[in-house]
Amino acid sequence: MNERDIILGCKANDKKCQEALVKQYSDSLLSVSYRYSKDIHEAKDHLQDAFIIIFKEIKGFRMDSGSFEGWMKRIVARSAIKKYKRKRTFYEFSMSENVKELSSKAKAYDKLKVDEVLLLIKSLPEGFREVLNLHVLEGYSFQEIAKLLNITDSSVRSRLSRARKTLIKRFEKLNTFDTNKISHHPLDE
Amino acid sequence: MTPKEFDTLLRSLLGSHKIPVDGNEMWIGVQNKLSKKKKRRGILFFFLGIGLIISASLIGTQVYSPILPQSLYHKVSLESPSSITPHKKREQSRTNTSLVSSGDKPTNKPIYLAHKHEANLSGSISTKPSSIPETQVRKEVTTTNQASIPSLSYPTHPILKILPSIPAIEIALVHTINNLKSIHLSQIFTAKENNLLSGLNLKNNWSLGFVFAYGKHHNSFQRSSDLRKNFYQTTRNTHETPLEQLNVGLTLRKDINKQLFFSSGIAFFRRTDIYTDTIFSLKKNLVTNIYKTYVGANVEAAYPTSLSISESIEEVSVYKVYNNYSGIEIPILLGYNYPFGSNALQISLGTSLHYRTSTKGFTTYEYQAVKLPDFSYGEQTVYPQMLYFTALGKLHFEHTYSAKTRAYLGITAEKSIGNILSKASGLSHQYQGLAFEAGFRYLLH
Repeated sequence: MNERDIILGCKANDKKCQEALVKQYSDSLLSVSYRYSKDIHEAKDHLQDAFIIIFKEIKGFRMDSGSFEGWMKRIVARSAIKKYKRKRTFYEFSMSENVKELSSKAKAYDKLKVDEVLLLIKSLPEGFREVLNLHVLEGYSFQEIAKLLNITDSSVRSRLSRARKTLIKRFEKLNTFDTNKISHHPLDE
Repeated sequence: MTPKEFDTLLRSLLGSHKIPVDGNEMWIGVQNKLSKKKKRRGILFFFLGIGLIISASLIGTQVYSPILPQSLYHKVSLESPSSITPHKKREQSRTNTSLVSSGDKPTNKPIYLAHKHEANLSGSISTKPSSIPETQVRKEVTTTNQASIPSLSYPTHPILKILPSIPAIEIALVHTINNLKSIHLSQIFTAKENNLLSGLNLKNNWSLGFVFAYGKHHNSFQRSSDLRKNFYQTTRNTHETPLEQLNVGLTLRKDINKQLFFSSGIAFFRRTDIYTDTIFSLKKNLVTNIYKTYVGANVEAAYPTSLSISESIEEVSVYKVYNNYSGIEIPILLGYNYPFGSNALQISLGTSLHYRTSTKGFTTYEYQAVKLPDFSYGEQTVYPQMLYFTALGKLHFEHTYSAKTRAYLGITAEKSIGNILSKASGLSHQYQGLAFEAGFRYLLH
């Protein structure tokens, strides 16, 4: 089933097409969801919620308006952020545990570099991480982020700049990265 | 590294990043969440319904409370309880403590609205609101000093004439279990349903009823033999139909006199069928949404006989069915009332005669409507002529706390006597139903 059939089927509320959509795009959308989640289980949970929103909003999607996958990624990101806002339970990232988790996964998927970068992004403070993910990876504009997070444009710019700086520093240290030496909380920096 | 270079690096690394996940597991999770969401929506509607009833009742009380002219206020204040003579007091106590039967002044009469769900051969349900006449004789003690209140002047606009004078709300929860069993086919249809019934007494013998029903039904169907093979050649081997339904309705009733009542109603009905069909070990899932609007009129004459005429339009995504329903129901209730203090216990046993026919003969529709092209072509008659008897047992307990409040509990059991013969298919069915009810009435004045 190609993308066009899936979209048309989902617009008509066809269960088979919805199933095909979930199966076809789960891998790539889970990556987005994971960037905003505490762990992989929570990421899956967020993604399932996001799929329900996608089914609801797909009627308004126009074929000529751009990438379908990009459109879905934006919904996944927006849904995850809204969920956190509602719950007010921002997770506290424990780097040592996640390094172990990701390292074992990285070996399995042979994508060590990507997972390490992902780990570093997740180690950023909540506000920084959200802005960085939304702007750099999901393509949200400053105004859109400001509206979504209920902050000013200048705060968005400032957070993004600081997120980049922090991440570049950590990224440059990546070669000497030793998981055993990191025992403190990254938010204490 | 410049910010732009950094952004590009991140995008190249994570833009197409994927985390492998089991698609089936994800899809099952999505489906579970979807069904939970539907349940939550049902609960939301339930509370919304309660909110609406209470708001409507309160608005009715606020807006249509009689306004006494200044001169009448003066008159009332002159006839304060302290100025009433002992002779007048005795007269009032005689007036205020009286037996009130169901046919008496409607301002003191509670409204009883019920929806019956009838299952036909194919397992679909028709909704027919009907007023169930109240038979119990109730001892009411009113504390209002009616003798000292002069007659009040109301607005004379015809619409305003039916608006609340002494509003009352009644909320009843009814849990019903129905069971329809086919004799020739192993088909069992069970329905479990919760109804919220409420009513509001209006002016000039008018009353308004509101029903909110949310139920779950289950239809299990299996062809057990070759009987009626030709007729049922289009049916599946087995199917399971768990379904959820929502029913919201409004009924306006006019008590013309003690023996004659007229009611008219409108109802909205939504049902979602999840149809699992098993054919040669292959399972098919089909979700059908049915929306039905009901507009009907009900005349009850020479109580307890009632004549019902209703018109409804059923819309399933593909087809439309216009149904006419007319029938006579004669519930003969042999009741025994045991009033003690402010309590009342009623035990009833009776028989009712049901006759149903379609005014336009048989209304037919095609099975193609349910989008099963391979096994689904055929015709099925809906609303066939039927004549059947039902044995009815009813136990009703009521406690009156004050003139304003009363609560009741009841159980009703019904069973068809002999078989219900469907002339269209020649098949026989048996029907049994059980209903539990709990109600609370509160007069607002």
